[in-house]
Amino acid sequence: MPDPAQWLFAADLGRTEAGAGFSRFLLEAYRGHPTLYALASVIALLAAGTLLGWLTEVALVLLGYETQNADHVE
Amino acid sequence: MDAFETFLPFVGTDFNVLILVALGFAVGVLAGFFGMGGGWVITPALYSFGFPMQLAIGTGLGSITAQGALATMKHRKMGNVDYVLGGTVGASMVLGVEGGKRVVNLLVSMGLAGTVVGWIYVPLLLALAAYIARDCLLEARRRAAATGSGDSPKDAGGRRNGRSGKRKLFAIGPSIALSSCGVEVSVGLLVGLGLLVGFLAGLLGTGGGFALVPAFVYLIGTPTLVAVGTSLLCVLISGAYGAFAYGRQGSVEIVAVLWMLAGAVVGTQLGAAATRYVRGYGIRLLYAVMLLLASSGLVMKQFGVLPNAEGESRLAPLVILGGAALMCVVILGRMVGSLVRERRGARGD
Repeated sequence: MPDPAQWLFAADLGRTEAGAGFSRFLLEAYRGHPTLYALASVIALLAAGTLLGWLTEVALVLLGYETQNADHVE
Repeated sequence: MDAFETFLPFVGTDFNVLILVALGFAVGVLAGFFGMGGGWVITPALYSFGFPMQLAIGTGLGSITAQGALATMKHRKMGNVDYVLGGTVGASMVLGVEGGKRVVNLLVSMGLAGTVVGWIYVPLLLALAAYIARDCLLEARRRAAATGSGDSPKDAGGRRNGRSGKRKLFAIGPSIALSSCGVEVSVGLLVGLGLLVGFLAGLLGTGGGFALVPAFVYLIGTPTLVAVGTSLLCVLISGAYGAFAYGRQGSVEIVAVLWMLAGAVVGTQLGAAATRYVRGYGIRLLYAVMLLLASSGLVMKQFGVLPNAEGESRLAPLVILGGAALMCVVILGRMVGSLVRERRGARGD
């Protein structure tokens, strides 16, 4: 049986420069100003969620698909 | 697979991006299709993948915040948000989230966070599965009865929740008027509800919609769509505060949240589209089965079933992610099947 832990976690493999740089940036920002970092993270998450969702809706409309309420309740 | 590894700075290890995107996609399909389900899957899944419990909770709350922003906006446009109700309960939830976070911090200092929160999840997931199964069976019976009496099922459901006229609910202490359902409700009741659900959200990393929607509908008499829209506002407020509070102590893995968000955006749209083609109660029962699988996965994690070299269960992540994947395959498979039949029918005409 494959070991998911070995499959999922593979330290020291496949780290790109850009990815490592972004990770370093996040860690340094957090260590420097944790409160500001947390606040910026929340704003970034809200913005990313809204923007990505909006872009997907625009793409669906452009492709000719009607969008529907994402929170369907029977 | 190396090309798909990304470094998670706060967990301090590399992680497979495809797993994160798949998890986000699965949660998105479930949220889009059922209107709930995010946090219940994300936190246990991340914990079973080896995230420390504190980081799994914080990352779950971050993910809920990102996904909740879009859903709340959609409901706001459709006029499904009661701001007085959502603001009161949401503000109380913030206090509850803070309480839950402090309990988690205490458990972390005792080295018990994973064990205690993991075990709290097990009965709650089982209870949620039982609730969904019961709700599903009751609805099926109600529809059957409505069909027999000549009523439309919608009418039957409408009468159950329909409450008209201005009336007072739990008139103890100060009360506020809710325009969405024409009632005056005790502020104490709303604050108590918010504190309780917020505490669970801060402790477990969930949104709390699972408790808010039934409470709004059955306790207050809010129309179902307003209950969903308003609960999303509450979840957004409490999730944003939770992400901030956990983020301040370095417990939100934002890289993981962003990858999950990429999958969730597509999954949510597909899940919402599937509601047009996939009907019936079997699918909701399957959701209950998925929650049972998630609960079983956590039990396996706690007991270290089929352990690897570090003593972590190999089976737990497969069971949890497998359950969510199975659910998505069924929903999307049935949607594709319906689409194919629809096109064949159109050609036949």
